[in-house]
Amino acid sequence: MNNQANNINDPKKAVAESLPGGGMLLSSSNPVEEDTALLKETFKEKYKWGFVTDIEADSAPPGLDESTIAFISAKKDEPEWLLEWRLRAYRHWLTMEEPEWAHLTYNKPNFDEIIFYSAPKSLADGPKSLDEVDPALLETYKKLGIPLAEHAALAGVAVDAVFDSVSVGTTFKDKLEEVGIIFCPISEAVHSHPELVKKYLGTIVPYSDNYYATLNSAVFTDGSFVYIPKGVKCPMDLSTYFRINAKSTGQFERTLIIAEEGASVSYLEGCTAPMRDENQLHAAVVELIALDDADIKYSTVQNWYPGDENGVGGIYNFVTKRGKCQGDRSRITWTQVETGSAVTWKYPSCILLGDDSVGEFYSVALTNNYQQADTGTKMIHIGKNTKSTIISKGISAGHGQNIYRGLVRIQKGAENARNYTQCDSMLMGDRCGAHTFPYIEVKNKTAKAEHEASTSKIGEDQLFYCNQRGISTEDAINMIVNGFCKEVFRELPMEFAVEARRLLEVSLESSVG
Amino acid sequence: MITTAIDNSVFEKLHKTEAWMFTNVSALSKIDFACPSEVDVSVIATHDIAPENPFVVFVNGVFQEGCSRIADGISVNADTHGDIAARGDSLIPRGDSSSVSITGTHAVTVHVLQIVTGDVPVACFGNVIVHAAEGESISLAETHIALTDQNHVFMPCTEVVAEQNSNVTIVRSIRGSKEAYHLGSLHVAQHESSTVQTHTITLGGKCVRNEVYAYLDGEHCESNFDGMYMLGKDQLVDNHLRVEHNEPKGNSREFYKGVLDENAKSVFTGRIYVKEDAHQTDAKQTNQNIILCDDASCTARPQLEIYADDVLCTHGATTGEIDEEALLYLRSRGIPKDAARTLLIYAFLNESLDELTDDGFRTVLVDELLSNLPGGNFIRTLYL
Repeated sequence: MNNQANNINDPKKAVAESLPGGGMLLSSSNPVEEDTALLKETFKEKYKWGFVTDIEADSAPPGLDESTIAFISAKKDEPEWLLEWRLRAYRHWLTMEEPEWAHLTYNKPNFDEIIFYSAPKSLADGPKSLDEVDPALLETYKKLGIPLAEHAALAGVAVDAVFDSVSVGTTFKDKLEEVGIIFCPISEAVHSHPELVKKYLGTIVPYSDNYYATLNSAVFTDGSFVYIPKGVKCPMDLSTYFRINAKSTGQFERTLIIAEEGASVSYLEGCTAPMRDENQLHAAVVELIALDDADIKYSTVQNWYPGDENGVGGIYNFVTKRGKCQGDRSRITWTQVETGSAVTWKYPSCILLGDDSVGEFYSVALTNNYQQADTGTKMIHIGKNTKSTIISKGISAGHGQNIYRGLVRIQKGAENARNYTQCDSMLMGDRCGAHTFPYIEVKNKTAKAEHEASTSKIGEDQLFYCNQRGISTEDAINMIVNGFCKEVFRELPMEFAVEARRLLEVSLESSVG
Repeated sequence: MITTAIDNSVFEKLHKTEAWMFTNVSALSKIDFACPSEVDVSVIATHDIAPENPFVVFVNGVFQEGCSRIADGISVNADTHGDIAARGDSLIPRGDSSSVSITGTHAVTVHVLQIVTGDVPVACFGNVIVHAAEGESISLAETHIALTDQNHVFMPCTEVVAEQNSNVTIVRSIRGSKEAYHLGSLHVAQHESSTVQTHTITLGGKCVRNEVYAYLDGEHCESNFDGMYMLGKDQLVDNHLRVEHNEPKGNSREFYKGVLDENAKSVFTGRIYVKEDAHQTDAKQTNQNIILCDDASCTARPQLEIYADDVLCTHGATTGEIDEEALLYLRSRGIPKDAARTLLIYAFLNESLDELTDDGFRTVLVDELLSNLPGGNFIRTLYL
């Protein structure tokens, strides 16, 4: 469409350009094209954190069969019951088919080429403290800006860093132990607290749940385990960083968080990954359990490698995250900022079983270039007076496809259940897509479910307004996008909010719809 | 004579697909459908709502020439299909029946009556082709009635082509037996500056699927797809829509509302698709449900699929009980609770019927609604 035609539909700009010197305000006679060019240029910004650490990996051979699973289990020195559980999952997985319902197009991963286990070799000796950790690893963290050692103390964050499937350093452990909190790699928890792991593992996401969760159950390598005892408020935010490092390593993290009666915890998860040409698979499972009056807040900033501007490479992020508000008056909050991955398939969910329990989901998902994200949530209301809130903000740019898919199910016994859903999409450029697929199932007449959605672009009049006041187009876009995402950002813990904003700015400098 | 030999097996696995996941019609695959039997034509007269208007009558998919009043521009041909239905991905089987073709401008509403009847289950099709040429205006009322309480399955398919500046209105009502299956579809192709409105009113049937596929192939199209339903025991309605905005400046509205009593189920799936470069599309879809009983349930999937950035698309879905405050307002003015409830339900549904312009058809539908509505007789004494 030519510029004149645009003006007809945008009276403010038409007026601006008809005034003497009016066009000057827009810095060019053809601002739309110029802005688009600027957009294209800044969107090309290279992935900042694409580097590879050279560590001799102790890997399983590529491909998956029962011996691979036995290998992983043996590496971890796991008890018999866990190996059996893995094998049950694997046998079930063989009967399953990769789901096709998602609004995504991608080449299905070739499981014969994936290396299902890879551990940095220097770890075999088992570092006892940070001093013993491979300096190359620490260097990697430094590049990532992870506050592991003294940074951790300054930031007040306990980091359980996962580096290619094996946790290498755990800080603040003593401090947490004082109040009885268990925060350790799940592979360690299997040995140190087998009764807890056995009791809860797979109760929220059963091994037969879905294709990728089942795969994870068979081959999961490591992840975090958190147990907050009765009545304990976790004194600090818990944090973990995942990082895919060795080439062709599928990462299969398994996280289990249990909050006993009256406990509360805030858990942060953040991801960056090195640059790769081939697609890598990331299939994690996260399980949360909140008992009476417990409160779990799970925040994610996801920045896996999204592939290049032609859609080559990038991570496949197929994740199953689910929390169960088992006790009365419990609360689970999911907050996510999704800017990375070539393909994302992720629905952090809440099962609201306890009476008066609360589920919340706040999400910002950004897709640029050829990224695709099919993400959203599920809120299953079972208990009485349960409440859920869903705020989803989708931003699409380039050829990105952003899909919100959310289920709100109110079961028959969920008297007075309430749901409020708001999903807003923002489009930047005319070759991207924003899609909304809500599923609302109501089986109780006293329940109230509300769904609102809107789709918009950054208006030329908004940009013009900012330009006029001396704000550059780039800053104006940042401002508008930040405003658009504000409802989600304010739910993030402080340090994540800062990171999230920076992440969006990197991805979104100078974009114009 | 048209036979009704259909391949039952298609119904068996329909509910395994995403589009049918909430509507299970697999029972149909186990029924032996009979050939249509002779019909007592005297019943037809009781459904001749507008005796002055053109009237086309089918019984079990067979054209009843003796009872019909054919006007200019209306013709009945054997075995003709339009080509609009083939554009969609509807899984409802298509079959042969005498087809009604309607063209030209009609001053009054053309009434197409489709009766399904028999002492044994009957399966039949009903094909209607509407073609409004440039500047023409057509109003059509389709009445689908199952007379006997059998597991009949009726599969009407109406194809509409609205050329430049034309205007088409279709009111489709599903009435009669609460044992019959109704798997209907409407396929609409619109050209520049055309206006199409459809109203789908579901009052009868055990399992009713109403599909609407619309293609806005020209600029400045106006489309209104509305639906209303009042369901009771063991009834299910599945309204399934796909509206494709293929050209800029289209304007579409989907507004479906209904009341569910006893263990009734409602499913709504609406997909607004906006093609690349279909800028300045303005699309809205809404689904509102009132649930009267604990056993009733509803599912809504209001979906947006958008590939253009300069668009205005909204969707909404609400489900709930009758507004307690409105109830209190009426009761505080001396209206008994049951009466107040009935009044509010009636007001909620009647909003949809108020949009019907043809008085004769509206009166019949209001009457049918009142006989389905718990406490409908009370309203009757108030208004009629």
